[in-house]
Parts: sequence; C-alpha cells; structure tokens
Amino acid sequence: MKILIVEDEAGLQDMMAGALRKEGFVVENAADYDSAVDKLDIYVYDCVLLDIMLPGGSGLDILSHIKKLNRKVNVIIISAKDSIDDKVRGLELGADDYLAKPFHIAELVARIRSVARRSQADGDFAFRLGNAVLEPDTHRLMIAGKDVPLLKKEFDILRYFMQRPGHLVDKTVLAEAVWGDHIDQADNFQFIYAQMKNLRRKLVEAGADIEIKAVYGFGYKLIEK
Amino acid sequence: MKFIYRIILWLSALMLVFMTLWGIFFFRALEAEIIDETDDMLESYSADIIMKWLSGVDIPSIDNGSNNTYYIHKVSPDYAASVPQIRYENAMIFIAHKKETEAARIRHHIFMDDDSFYELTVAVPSFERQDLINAILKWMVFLYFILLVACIGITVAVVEYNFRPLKALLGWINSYVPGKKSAPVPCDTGIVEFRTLAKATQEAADRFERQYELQNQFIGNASHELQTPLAVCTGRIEMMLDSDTLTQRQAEELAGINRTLQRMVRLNRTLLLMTKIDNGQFMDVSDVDIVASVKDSAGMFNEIYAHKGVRSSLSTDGGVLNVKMNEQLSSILVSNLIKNAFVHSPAGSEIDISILGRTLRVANDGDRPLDKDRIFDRFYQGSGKKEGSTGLGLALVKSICDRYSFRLEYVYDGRHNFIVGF
Repeated sequence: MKILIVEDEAGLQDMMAGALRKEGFVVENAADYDSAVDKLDIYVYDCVLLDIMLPGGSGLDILSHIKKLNRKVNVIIISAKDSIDDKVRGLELGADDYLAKPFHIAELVARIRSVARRSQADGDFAFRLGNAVLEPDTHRLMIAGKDVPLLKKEFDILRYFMQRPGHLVDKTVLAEAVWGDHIDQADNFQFIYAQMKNLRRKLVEAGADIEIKAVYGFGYKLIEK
Repeated sequence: MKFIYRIILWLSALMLVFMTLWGIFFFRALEAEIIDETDDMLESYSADIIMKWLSGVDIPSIDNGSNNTYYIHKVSPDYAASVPQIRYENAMIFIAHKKETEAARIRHHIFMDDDSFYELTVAVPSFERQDLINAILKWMVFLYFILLVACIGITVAVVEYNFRPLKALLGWINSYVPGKKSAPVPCDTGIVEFRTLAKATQEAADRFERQYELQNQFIGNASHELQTPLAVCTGRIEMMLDSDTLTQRQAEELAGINRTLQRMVRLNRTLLLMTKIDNGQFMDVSDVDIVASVKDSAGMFNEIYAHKGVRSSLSTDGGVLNVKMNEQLSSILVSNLIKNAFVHSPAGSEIDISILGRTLRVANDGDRPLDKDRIFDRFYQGSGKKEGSTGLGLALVKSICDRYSFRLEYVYDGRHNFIVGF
C-alpha cells in the first residue's frame, strides 16, 4: 500500500514515515502545497495523510484537487485544529477520516487500515484477527463464527486492541481511550483489571485464538496464539 | 451617593448660608432705616419743644394722647459737661396712659436757658427688635424653602435632561462584557465633554477587545503549535515501546515519559477547548437532558473510583431538567463537576448530587472551605496539588456557565457545595 504524507513539520513527517514503513507501507513525503499537488498529479497513492495548515495553501484545497482527479484515493486529514467545523468541512469535501493531533501512531495505522478496508470491501468495517471478528457498527464479537456477548466497556477495550494488534498499549492510554478524558493518571486502575479479567475469561471460554497479554507490568498487547 | 443627591445637598447647604447672611444684612438695613427715620422725628420734636420752652410758649402736655413722652430736667453744669449734648438710646419706657412698658427710642438733648442747664428727654415708642427679628426669620425660612424647592426642581430637571448621554454611556459600560460583541458606545450628543468621554470609552473598549482577542489567540495558537511536537514525541515513544530489544527497565521509563506527555496533551487539549468555548465556537444547540447526563457521569465515576470507596447518590424532585445548550459542553460541564467531587473526596465518603427545579447541586465532604474567589481560576488548586489533575476542570465549568449565563456558585456549609442554576 502506497501512502503520501503531506505534512510540513519535518519531525512529525519523519516519525510518521518511519512508523508506517515499519508497518510495511510504501511511504512518500510532501512538505508543502505545491509539491503535494505535483506528486498527486503524477503518482497514484492508496492513501493520503493530509495536514490542513500547509505552506503555500490549505490542505482542504488539496482535498478538492484530489476529488477533481477522480481517483480512488483514501484521505485521512491530520490536523492540529481539533474543531468540529474543520472536521465536518473535511468530511464533506470527501475525506475518509479525521485524526486530531497529537495522535497515537497505532491509532493512525489502525485508521489507515480501516479506511483501506472500507474502500476494498464495501461496508465491511469488521476487524479480524485469528478466529475473532469484531464489528464496531453492530457491537458484535464473533469467535469461530459464534456470538460472544460482551459488556459495553469490554467491547470498547477489545475494539481498541483489535485496531492495534501486536502493539504495546499502556494501561493509562487504554483507560483514557475507553473511559475518556475523565481518567486521571494518578488514579488506581482497579477498574481496568476487573474489566480485563472478565474479557480475558470470555475470550478463553469462547475458544479464541487471540489473547490479551500483560507486558512489562504496565501495559497489554493483543497477540495471536 | 448619586450625583443628583450630591447636588441637592450642596444646594441646600449653600443656600442656607446665603439666606442666613442675607437675613442678617436685611435686618440690619431695615433697622438702620427705621432708627434713622425715628431719630429725624425725635429731632424735630425736641427742636419744637426747646423752641417753645425758650420762647415761653405753652408746651404740649406730657400726656397728650400720643405715645410720645418728654421730660425736662434741670441738670448741673458738671453733668452737662460730662455727656454729649445730644444722645440717642434704645430703652424700655413706661407709658403712663397705656400703663405698659414698651420699647422706645430716646433722645437726650442738653440745652441752656438763663445760665442753667436743662436736659430734654424725648421718647417715642419704636419697634420691638425681637419681634422684627422673629418676623424676618419666619419669612426668610419660608423664602428659603420656596427658593430651595424651586432651585432643586429646576436643577434636577436640567441635570437629568442634560445628563442623558452620560446615563446612556454608563448603561453601556455596565452591560459591557469583555470578549462578547457589544454595540458601539452611545455618542448621540452635541456636548463636547460627553463626546470626548464616549470616544475615549470606545477607544479603551476597542483596545481591550483587541488585547482580549490577542490573548485568546495566543493561548489558542500556542496550544495548536504544541500539538505537532507532542504528536512527534508520543509517536516516537510508542514506536520504541514496540521494539523487541527493550529491557523491562527501559520500557518502564519510556512508559513513564509517555504518561507525562499524555498529561501535557491533555492540558493542551483542555486549554484549546477553553479558548474555543470563550470564542463561542460551540454553536449548535440542542435540548439536553441534564438528569440523564448526570446519571451517565455518576455511573462512570462510581465505577472508576470504586477502589477509593467513594459513592455518589442522586436525588431529584422527579421532574425533568432540559437545557438548551451544546451537547458536548453540557457533558463536559456535568462530568467535570462530578469528577471534581470524586477526585477531592476523602476515601469512603459519600457524594450527594441533587437536581431540584433548574438547579444542579453537587456536595462532597471537605474539612475546610475553599477560596471562593479563586476556586474557578485556571490552574488554581486549593489544598495541595493533586497529581495528574490539570487544575482546569472547574475553570472549564466556569467558562461554560459564563457562555450560557448560568449561575455558578460555591457554598461551604460543612461540605463543599457546587451549584449550577440553569
């Protein structure tokens, strides 16, 4: 999969490119409006990661340009401006997703995979790993074809892991992702352990060949057995 | 004190002084005039008597029916030499035919007849000083009040009429809220001073507005600019955490750094959120069910803080509380209030949330009252800094309440009470 990163901040560009290459993507960079438009005119990409504020023009103009080219390109807007207005405008202009800075690399990868999957298999948003299939839209988890009922928080936790299989997830990051901004880092994470225990038990009972492993004592990782 | 009362007070005081002085002057002038006239009369009367005396004609009888009296005494040459030839005095005299004492003007005149000295004393009843003073005083007081009422009436009318531009200006200043779009300063007057004042006010308000905007922009921009470097840092750390060659120790360090970074991210995000609220960027409004929102939040925090043994209970009057506001902001408002109570409650205590009418009250235990004036300030943390807390939660609540003009109150009655009136 070929990805174009349109981002003027060299550090971020470098970091994103490195992370995405590690995931096995082919990555190219454009640091300003003109070079981005040039590259988009010449080459074909599967996915464009688009910053809104760029030297020489707005990322939203590039988005319009891509739509004019009439090519099947997934666009994920990456912006420091976490405003609903921008989000709505970007999505109206045809962006596939919107990610606010700062973001987790694993989340970026998950989003790229997700939009790619969406464009390939129409409407199938399910995450698959091993014999587990998780459908975010219907809030269903199927293991080996059988429904496994999960409570809401358990489902949210598993979805978070399914989006970033094989990645280490810090429990504070997990807590924030699932419980929202209401978590304080000084908090005790008893509530996570309880949920995690139930989730793991349900996975084992259903005979799943995926497992949430505790790592280093502060994090978890979803792996295939 | 209102300006008009001040004017009335000064008018009354100054007019009192003026009228007193005028009364004294008036009395003196009147008295001098009366004495002058009386003396003239006494002079011609005594001249008449002396002339008649010297020429041996019959002089009028002492009791001739008028109130005028006269005496002629023979006096010694020594006495005659020791007093002036003509003297005037005021005294009380007894009028024989009236059988009463009256105030009189008396003229003493020493004259010579056949080498003997005689003193003619002529007296004419005159005015009673005290009566005159009383009469004048009475009328002066009367005049004072008439003049005062007229003066005050006219002044109030003139001042009220001419100060309308000032009133309009004051009204504008009172309704001015920094950061909110307000109408231009009223300047509908031909009076130079008021025009200058209005102009100066407008300029000050404009300058203030610009600075307010710049400050807001600065916080917003600074937060925006921080997003990218923060993204780079967290991204790199996450990549390193995924590496297989990490030792346990290194991984823990990295995770520690990452948590600190997440804290910065959260701080930054909250600051941005506040800037956005202050800039009025949450436009869309819907009917929000506050009771449901409170139940949601309370449920979640009960779960999160179960380890602390803090529980919350909700009491309502059975009614619904629907508020027209932005849904995102309403959930931030509610959850921050409730979270604040959970975070700052001692272990094992109870939080009481009540919704009565259009008032939401969150009460939690605490042994000391908090600083009422600073509790809603950014980064203010009352009793010792809580690790991991941004210090922005209540400031955020205040921003939202200000935005919608909700009443936000803190009351300490042995417990901390946070009250929002929608």
